[in-house]
Amino acid sequence: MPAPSVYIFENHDTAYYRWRELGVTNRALVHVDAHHDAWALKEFSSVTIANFITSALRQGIVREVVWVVPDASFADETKRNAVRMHLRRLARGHGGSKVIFGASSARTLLDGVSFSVCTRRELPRFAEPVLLDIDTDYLVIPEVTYGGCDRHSSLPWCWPEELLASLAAAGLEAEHATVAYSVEGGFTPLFWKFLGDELAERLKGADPTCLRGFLAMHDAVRAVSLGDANSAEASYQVAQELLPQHAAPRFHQALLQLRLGRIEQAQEKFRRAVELDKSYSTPYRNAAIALINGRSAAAGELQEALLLDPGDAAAYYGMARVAMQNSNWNDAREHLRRAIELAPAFLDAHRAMGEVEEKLGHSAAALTAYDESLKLSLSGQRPLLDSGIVDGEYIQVLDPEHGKTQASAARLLARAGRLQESAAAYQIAFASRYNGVAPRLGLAWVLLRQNKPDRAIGQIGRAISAVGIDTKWLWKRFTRTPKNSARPWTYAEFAAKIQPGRLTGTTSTS
Amino acid sequence: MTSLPSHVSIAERAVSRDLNGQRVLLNLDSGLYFGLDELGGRIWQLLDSRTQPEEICAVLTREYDVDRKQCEADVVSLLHSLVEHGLIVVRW
Repeated sequence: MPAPSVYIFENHDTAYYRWRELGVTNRALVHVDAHHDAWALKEFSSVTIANFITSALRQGIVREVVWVVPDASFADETKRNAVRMHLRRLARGHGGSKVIFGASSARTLLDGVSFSVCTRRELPRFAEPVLLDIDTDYLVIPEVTYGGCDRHSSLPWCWPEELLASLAAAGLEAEHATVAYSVEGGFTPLFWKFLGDELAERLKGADPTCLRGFLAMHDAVRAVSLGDANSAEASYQVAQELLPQHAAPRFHQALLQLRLGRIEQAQEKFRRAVELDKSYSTPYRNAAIALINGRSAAAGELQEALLLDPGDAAAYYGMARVAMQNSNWNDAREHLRRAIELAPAFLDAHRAMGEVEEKLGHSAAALTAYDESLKLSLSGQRPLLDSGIVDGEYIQVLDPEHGKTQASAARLLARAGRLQESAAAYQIAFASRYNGVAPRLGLAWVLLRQNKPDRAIGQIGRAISAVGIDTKWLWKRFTRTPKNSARPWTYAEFAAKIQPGRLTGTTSTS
Repeated sequence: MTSLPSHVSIAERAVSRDLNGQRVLLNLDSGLYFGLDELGGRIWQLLDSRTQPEEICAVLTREYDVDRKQCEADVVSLLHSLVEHGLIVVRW
């Protein structure tokens, strides 16, 4: 089912900006995704991958949304429940409309706009061309989850041609089609990024050679899953010849050669893949796995990543996180030292180094590392799990750990007797909305040591009232979806008001 | 602001920290964060120790290779920005 115009990009919220540029208004949106991306916009919150559909419906770009979920999401009551929980929470955040739930579909109103959920087989008929919006992760996440991590299938549960055939069978016509890779953040494993390319090519009406290349990729990954390395390698070779400008065949071949112990060949293939497409050097090909999946699986993946690219700072960072989970602080320190050596502006590595040095009792080194991470975040460096957003005059700091790191620095400063600096760091932490019981009591202790008992009592009072806030935070922490736990949609609740500006003394120093 | 004020004090609702050589300022009311470069950080440090603008210029002309007129213009410009963002209070 070709579409007149097809756009492909990494972050899904780009779709919203594209629709705006195209002057789209009052259209039906068919959103094919393992995530709804329609969380309510809160005060100060920016458009993100988690809420861009809300922006589209509030601005009249979209008058109706159909969220097409992976087939298994309606397979049984337990799975339907995940969809139900999402819809209830969405409805609560968007005006409290009733949720009507059926065996194979559901619907509600979000800010007065119809929002329905179904599988590709239950897609309603549309009388006019729609906005078709597909997230590549749909193909490899077999069901919607709520309050837990996304589970990826070992092979796509639905291949691009199957999805597009289903949409065509429903009589769907797309006015504009948008495709998001969603590799950053770990939603689509890098291994499957090529499925996004394939979707886009099929929507554009790709030439047969190109399609044969993608089919060779399918053959290859199926062969890999069956342990048939020879067939896999032969199919990857075909894919490489048919898709000479695509990085995916080379990246896949590199992984296969690595597993076959042909390390130098693997490194060379990987280098070629990155030359063709720099996005294949993303940290999300490994470090995210360490953060999202279990530690033993992560360690194996990361060691493999380091074999593939010994200069991979993110892999060292991932190794450090695994070591930290196992309380191997010296190992963690060594991995982080390597990560920082390879990538001096690696914010997360400095921050983790702060934690490790603190655990090792090296307060001064810990403070230096924490402060370096804060400095980097203010200079616009992005933490691994967040995206930076340029918003007018200021760069909004999307760094959910900013306040917590300030509080950690404050604790160390207090321990060193640097009370005034400690108090300042606590106040900055509070302004970043990191203002729970522990930091409030920390500041109270600093104020007592500064002989300011009245102000200390004030902080103790706030600590007591923060108990309620912390309970709410815990609730959010354990109820938010994996997409949101990995991405900054809740960030506005923590630190949206922290923005770096730039005031510079400009005296000549020649 | 076109001339040096006689007296400057840090606003009550402004806090600052030195992050490994970079001074950051926060206006607790607006929630806006600001970074100062090395020289801006030095000026803030002097303000923090209650040094007044005239003396700040004297210190800077000793520490840097800059003439007095240029230095005053730059200090005035920075103070102007700091006032605008509610980080200092000035008096003439």
